[in-house]
Amino acid sequence: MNKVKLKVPASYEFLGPVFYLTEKLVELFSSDERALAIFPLAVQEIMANIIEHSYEEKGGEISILWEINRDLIRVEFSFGGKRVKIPEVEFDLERKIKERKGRGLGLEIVRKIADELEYGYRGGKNWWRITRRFRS
Amino acid sequence: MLEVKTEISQGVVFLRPRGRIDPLTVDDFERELERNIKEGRVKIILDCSELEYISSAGLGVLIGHIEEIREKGGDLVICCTTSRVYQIFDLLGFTRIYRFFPDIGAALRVFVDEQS
Repeated sequence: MNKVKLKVPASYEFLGPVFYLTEKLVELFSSDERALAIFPLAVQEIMANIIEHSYEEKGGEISILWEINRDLIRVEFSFGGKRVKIPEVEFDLERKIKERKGRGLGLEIVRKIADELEYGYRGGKNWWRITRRFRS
Repeated sequence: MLEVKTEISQGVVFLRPRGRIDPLTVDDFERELERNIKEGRVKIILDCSELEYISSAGLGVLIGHIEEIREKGGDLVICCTTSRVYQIFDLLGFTRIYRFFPDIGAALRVFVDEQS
């Protein structure tokens, strides 16, 4: 596996750079156009979730490890702040429209794009890991 | 970064976001949408031709306002030709609930035909 590791501030200003780095890595290793179109957004949504919910927009640091080869890409986030809690709520777009509530879409995007999605807490740090296998 | 251009023609608002809609820029997009709704302009074409991507923050804005737009007799239709943006809309089921068009002319005809 090829690896890229970065430590970035937990700031919305870094969503763009993380998105484009992920896009470039997918482009470099795969011709899976769907993965190229949607996977960078999933990575960005996880990072936005960390900034908003774990760090409550007060800043901090996020370590990001990209692992990629011709078969798959895996991105792992390691960070402090509040413990990750993911609600197990079934997504219902019609209900959200009726309630005029657009919250919770980010996690749904992540769930739909990931082949594997894991998260947890170890050694005083939270972690998220998302994996997407490339289709030919 | 994001720039949102607004044009009004034949009673229809063309919202043209250029760049990306994410948590950093979503307020600019929402402000422009709300301004038009508040001023009674509820026939809206969202032209995504220069939109690099839209994150959940932007999709949430569309969800939050569509009922109000339709209650006021309008609609927000989406003109989307770029594959990435369309795939994100499709992933969450927006293509079942919002009307999508491949070009501005087709989107505009919907409102013009409804007026006549």
